Amino acid sequence: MIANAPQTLTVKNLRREYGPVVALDGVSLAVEPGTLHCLVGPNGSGKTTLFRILLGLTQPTGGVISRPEATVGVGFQRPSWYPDLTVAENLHVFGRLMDVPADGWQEYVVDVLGLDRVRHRRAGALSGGYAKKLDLALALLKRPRFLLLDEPLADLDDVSESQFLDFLASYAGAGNAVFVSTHRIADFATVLDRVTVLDHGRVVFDETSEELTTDDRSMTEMYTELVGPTDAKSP
Amino acid sequence: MRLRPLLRKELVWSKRNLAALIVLLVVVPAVFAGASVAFQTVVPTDMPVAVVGAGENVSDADLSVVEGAVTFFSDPVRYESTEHALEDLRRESVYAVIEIPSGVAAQSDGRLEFVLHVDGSLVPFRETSKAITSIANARLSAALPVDVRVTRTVLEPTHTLPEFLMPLLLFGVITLFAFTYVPYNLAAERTALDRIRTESSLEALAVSKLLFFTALMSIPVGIFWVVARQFEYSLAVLTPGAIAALFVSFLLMSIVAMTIMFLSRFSTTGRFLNVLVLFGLFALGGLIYPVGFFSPLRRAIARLVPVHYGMIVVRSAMLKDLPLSLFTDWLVGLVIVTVLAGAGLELSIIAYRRWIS
Repeated sequence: MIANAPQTLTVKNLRREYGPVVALDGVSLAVEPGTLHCLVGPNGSGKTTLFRILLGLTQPTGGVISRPEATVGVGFQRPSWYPDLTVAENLHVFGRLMDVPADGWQEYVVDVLGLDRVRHRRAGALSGGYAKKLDLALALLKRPRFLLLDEPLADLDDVSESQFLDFLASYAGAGNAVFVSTHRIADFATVLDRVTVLDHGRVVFDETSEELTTDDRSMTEMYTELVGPTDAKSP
Repeated sequence: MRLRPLLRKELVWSKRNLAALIVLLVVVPAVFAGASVAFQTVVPTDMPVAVVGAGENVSDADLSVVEGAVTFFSDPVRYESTEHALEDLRRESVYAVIEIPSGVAAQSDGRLEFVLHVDGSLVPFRETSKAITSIANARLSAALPVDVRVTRTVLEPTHTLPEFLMPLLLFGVITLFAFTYVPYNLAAERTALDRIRTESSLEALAVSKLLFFTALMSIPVGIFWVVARQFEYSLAVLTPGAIAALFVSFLLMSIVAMTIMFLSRFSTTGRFLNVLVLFGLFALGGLIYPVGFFSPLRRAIARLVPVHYGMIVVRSAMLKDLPLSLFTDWLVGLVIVTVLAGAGLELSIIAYRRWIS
């Protein structure tokens, strides 16, 4: 069931089953404008299923989704673009598909992500880091009010990771909603506004940053306590 | 050399790709071996031949006598009018028309004149039809107590073998493109499908590809037109009937190829299946050689294949420059099948979305 909601991306009591396997079991959360919201959980916790349901790529078997009446940009776990086109051609094709205005924003995104030097390289021949950056650029192309990113830091080098985190923080600070799915909470510890921890398809923690300690280590410890040590990454 | 681990890896890999290997090692050989049954004779012995009375005085008994005599080398089909029989000759539904004079059954002396009409544009049949005229003469002479003369008349412009080959080569080019490049192109862009789904739709993607690739077919058509002019072939490459049949046939084949890819989730098996369909069309679809020359089984199979009719329209329109109205029913049928195939493609896209969700 999908209801209309103008400002906030909300899911209530979301459920998804794959045969006997319950991937999501009564998940509820709200993504609000002006926040950098992290969805954290170990591998197989249901993050990607929830992410794909939010995008409409997977249908839930139960629950309610309220999608905002706003532009949505998407960054995928596995980069999604045309491998036989160059970086510039991908930006052009998807820019046209999204009706992106020629106002300099695209150039800004290319600059922020350091894509200029590979602009004329075939996307399929890019390194893992640049492949991810192209996907992130496509997510940002229409300057979305809601930016949904699945594992956005995967394959990025340390410098790029730091720059991109700063960018995400400022992007959320400008009144946009940034919803990030990740299994590495420590990477986002200093910039997140809200964290939701998912484990075995259930929300086991959902708090704002004010309610959390700002200490990375404590956050990692908290996460480890919630889900066990398997996927917790030390800062 | 340590071969055993690598051989074991091949075994494991083969288990992972069992479907593709079954297609290549079981289905393809079975189809190829099975297709051999369709090639039964070198010289046609049961091609459809129209038997029609030359006038109103020709009786059922007259027609029956002739039908019995020509069964030796053909599968006679009785027609009510010469006009209708000649129309079907032009549409390759029959490969010759025998006009019967009156009095065949009753006449006991004198001479009977039969006329055997053949289509001059059907180059492979031109020489064969001379032999068949002689055989018809001999069989009818043996069967009737009168002096028999069978006269052969050639309808439509005659063509050279290269001219005859041009339409089928062009059709071969678009068939090859539909079942090899189209699936390759779709599979190569698999990584972009998630983003396409969020920013547009798989349906829009499929339609844009179909429109683009169909438009691309203008290029081989243009090349064949240039070559035909260069060699001064008597060939109407750009005639509306040929263009319409060619483009609709390509659209249909591309839709089928895309449907296979969506149903196979862009797997290697899907590409092999498309190649199999390609071979199947060439072997059994009557795209290369007029099907009347082959076994009844193969003829029956070919006549179940919609693009078989597209090929006949292309060949007829290019070689004979016949009016489009002669093939309206086939073209409409081809369009209807294409629309139905489009519905099938939509169902395959829906199934694909369900699978990956």
